[in-house]
Amino acid sequence: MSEFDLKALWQSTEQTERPEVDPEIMKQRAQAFERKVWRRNALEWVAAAFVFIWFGHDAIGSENTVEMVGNTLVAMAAIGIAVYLYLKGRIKTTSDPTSDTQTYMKAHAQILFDQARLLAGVPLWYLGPLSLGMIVLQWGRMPTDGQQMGAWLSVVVLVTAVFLGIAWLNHRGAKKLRHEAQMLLSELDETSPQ
Amino acid sequence: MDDSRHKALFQALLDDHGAALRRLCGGYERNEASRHDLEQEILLNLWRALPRYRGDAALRTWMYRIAHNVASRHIHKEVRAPIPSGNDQRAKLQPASGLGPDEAVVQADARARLHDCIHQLRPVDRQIMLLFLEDLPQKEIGEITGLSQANVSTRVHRIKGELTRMLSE
Repeated sequence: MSEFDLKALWQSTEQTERPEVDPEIMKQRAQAFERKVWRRNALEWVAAAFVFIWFGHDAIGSENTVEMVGNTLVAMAAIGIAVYLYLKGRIKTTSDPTSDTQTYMKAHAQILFDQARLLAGVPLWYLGPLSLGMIVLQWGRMPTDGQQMGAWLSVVVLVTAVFLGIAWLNHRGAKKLRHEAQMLLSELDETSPQ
Repeated sequence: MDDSRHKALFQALLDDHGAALRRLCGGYERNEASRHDLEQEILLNLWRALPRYRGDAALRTWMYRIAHNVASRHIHKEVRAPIPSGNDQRAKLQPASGLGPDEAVVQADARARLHDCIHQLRPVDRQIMLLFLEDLPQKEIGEITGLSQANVSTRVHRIKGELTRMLSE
């Protein structure tokens, strides 16, 4: 089969009609996409504000100084995490689709590595500050009589399990992203030399 | 870019290259639902990027860059979350009009085999081949892929040979 036969065969596929798209609908989709990104970012701040108000309020009504310090630390950690995410969010999260494929895929792989680093660092920048506050808080709330000890221990175990679960999920996510980025780069390597 | 110009340019882009975009999606995706998703993703990216088009590259080159970049990412996403096979486009191939029944069947079968062969190519080779089959010059293929013209030329020669051999078997 000649080169011309191949091209003619390919171009004779039934998918020869252009997609029928109303530009107004595309405009609405693009706006919806931007609103989605905005809502996702806003949600991070709302969550941080909620935790800040909750634990801040508890700090004011704390029964002892240790509990007050613990509540304050958790409240401050929530704001710290939101600021950290905001600053990280300003780093490029999408590569320029108008660049050539080699450049685009390299940039995309780099973004995946950055995201993997962020996820792998969750125990440090997310769980670390929150854990510190929670440890101090639980220390301040430690009951003196044996009757309440069971309930207190249950809370400690539950919080620890949730934190370990978060750390594990993020570790797994980071591993997947790194694998994907490495696959991309290995494919690009095979295309060298340019 | 004002709204009416944005819309007009988008329509013109689809008028000139819409059919090629459809074929491109078919070259990357066999599953009908995924192909539709890919097409929508490409169109959305084109729409969003259009106001930034400054004419540094030809509109066709610019469009193919976006389309292939989005498609390349799309197939990598599917490596992470594979879509069950079935409902592929092989079954959907219709005979081209203007042909007799026998010729149409032969052509539909050859097209299905060509699609099969293209789907077996590595992503970079597939991209090069899809651009080649759309009759783009090797220089332009190089501008889209980021490979040198010499590299494109060597690859086109090799892949073409492979495809011809596979189709003749």
